[in-house]
Amino acid sequence: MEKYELEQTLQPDEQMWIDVGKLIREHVPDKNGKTLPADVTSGSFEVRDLTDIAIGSLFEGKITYDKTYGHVAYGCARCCTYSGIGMDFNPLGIPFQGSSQNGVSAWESCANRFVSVSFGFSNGWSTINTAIATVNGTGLHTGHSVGSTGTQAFGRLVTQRAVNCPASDVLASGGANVTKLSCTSSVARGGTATCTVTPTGVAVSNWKFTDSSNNTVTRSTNTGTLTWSGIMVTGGTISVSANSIPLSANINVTNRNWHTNPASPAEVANGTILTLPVPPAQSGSDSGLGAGAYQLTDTGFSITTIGDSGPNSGYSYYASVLVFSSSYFHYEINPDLENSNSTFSQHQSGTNGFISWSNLLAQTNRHEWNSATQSHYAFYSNGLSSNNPGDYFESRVAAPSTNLTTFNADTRSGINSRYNTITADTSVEPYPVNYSETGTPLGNVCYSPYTACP
Amino acid sequence: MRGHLILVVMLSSLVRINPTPNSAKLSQYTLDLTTPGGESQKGRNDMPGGGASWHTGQKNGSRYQLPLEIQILGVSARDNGDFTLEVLLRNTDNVDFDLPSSTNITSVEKPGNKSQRLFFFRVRPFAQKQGDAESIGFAATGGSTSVPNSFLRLAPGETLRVLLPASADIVRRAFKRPTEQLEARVVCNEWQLEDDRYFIRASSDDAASKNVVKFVLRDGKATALQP
Repeated sequence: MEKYELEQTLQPDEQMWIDVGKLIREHVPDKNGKTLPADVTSGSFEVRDLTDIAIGSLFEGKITYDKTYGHVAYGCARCCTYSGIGMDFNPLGIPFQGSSQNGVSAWESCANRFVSVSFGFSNGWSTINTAIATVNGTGLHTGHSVGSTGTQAFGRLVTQRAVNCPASDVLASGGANVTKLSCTSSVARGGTATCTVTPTGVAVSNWKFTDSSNNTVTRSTNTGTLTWSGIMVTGGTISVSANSIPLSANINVTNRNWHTNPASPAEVANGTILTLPVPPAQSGSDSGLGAGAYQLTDTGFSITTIGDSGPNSGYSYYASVLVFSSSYFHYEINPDLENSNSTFSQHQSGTNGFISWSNLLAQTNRHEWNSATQSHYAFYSNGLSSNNPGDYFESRVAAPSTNLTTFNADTRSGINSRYNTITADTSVEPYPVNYSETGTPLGNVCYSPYTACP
Repeated sequence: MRGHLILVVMLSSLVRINPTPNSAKLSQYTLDLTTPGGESQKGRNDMPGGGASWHTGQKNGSRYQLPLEIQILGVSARDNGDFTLEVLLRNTDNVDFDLPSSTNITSVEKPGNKSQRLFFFRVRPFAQKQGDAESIGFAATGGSTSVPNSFLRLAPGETLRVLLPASADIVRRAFKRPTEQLEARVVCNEWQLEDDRYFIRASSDDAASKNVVKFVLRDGKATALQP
């Protein structure tokens, strides 16, 4: 059926006059650009209050002053009435500490369809148990605690056909369920997390996990179960639909403490690392007074893929700590230097530009290990701290569909790269043995045959 | 009997190494690593042990340099959207370099095999920290003196063309911003394994291509730009 629609804003007591004949003759377009056919001779019309569709404030009358082209039959307008009044969503799902909008719909007799009549219920909303949910005047519900409550809306609608279109008090009522998704908020990598939707009886679907890189795991078994749990190796967001309301919660995955700690410095006998000359002798820049060595050896590793149908199912990670078969920092001090009575030690006088024996012994130890800033041990320890193979290994997680051969090889290379950096750091020479920790020269070392320091 | 053995070896080589007469000036052979070997050829699932050590007077420990110059010659898209990188390796040393060239890692890693070496080709985006970038393309080859024809000998100055795979999906995921240009190099390194245990005796430093391949996103799809 073709429609010709005119809209006009009316002030109180104002009238809208429509000369249909003129509209036809002058081909006046309606709000949609349509015109009335020139040969039209009959039709029907409706009057609708667009700002108050529930009741309306219009009164319709007719007058015929020119019957050249037609006439209007006498009759009174009949009101459009509403029936079958109900909530848009019943029960309404409300996320815990979130909000959901409800409305009221009714069957409209003129349009022959359900239409929204929420306008007629403005400020008429309330809930039975306000501890569970509250509602504002527009039907926006807020969930305060998990549970179910009734919700209702009072309003006025035209429900009876009468000349004056009388409005009646009407009530729409329904239920509201406040649902909540609770997840283990934080779990160490490899631990189990559980997510649960409450209250019981809620219909759930579309469980999904999304990590920070937008990799997703969609639950494929027991999809309607209220809980979802499994081993977690990477954090992200769990989402689920509960009574058609989307709920979400975050799970944080923390690192396991797999930090590779530096070995304690340990003195070993001369010849263990290399053989220091006795009596001491200089060789190039090597004082011949001390030596250091470190070793860090792991036994290899294998990767584990999660297959528990949980949120991180399909992810791969390292379930076991990186095992080191060898980890040490050793140092040697020349036996003649450690022996205060040796001929060499007796010639380190601390005078005439030569370092004292006690200073030389202390600074040799400082050079190898006994300094937090200027020793091979400090460089090793700091290098290990900032290029920690254990920390790196612990954090390696492969998303589903990752090529694990590539991933494992990349992990191995990442560890090797850290080893290389630690070695490079450790091999840097601290201040020489005849310097202080702050870089102050303390005198020359007097070597055999001690001609310069008799 | 000897004749049969020779015939078998030659057929095996033909499958692995395809002569490419059109590019004979650059390279006599092509090592095509774009077709992944089967599960039975990918080698052990675990990774070998490794380590580092240093002592006074030592310089580089168990690290060594690969005598290879790597150049990306081109990149092309395959029917499935993935990429094939064409790479040229050149032996820059004045002695032969035996490149591990068997894609059957399982046969190379068999216990008892001598002088096992694993060689890795990675297509790797730039990363702040060396070794931390995920590979967007990867291929591994192996060689052992116990496995015939598992090495390809490159004479000094000799070149070899290698075809490497790069997954379009992984390339796309490597973009941190859709507007950026992703630059990647081909990086090679090698592990030398001990004979009597699954352990890296020595590993090479990474050898990176001197040029890069660039990728951009067009309509959400990774597209390669010629190097």
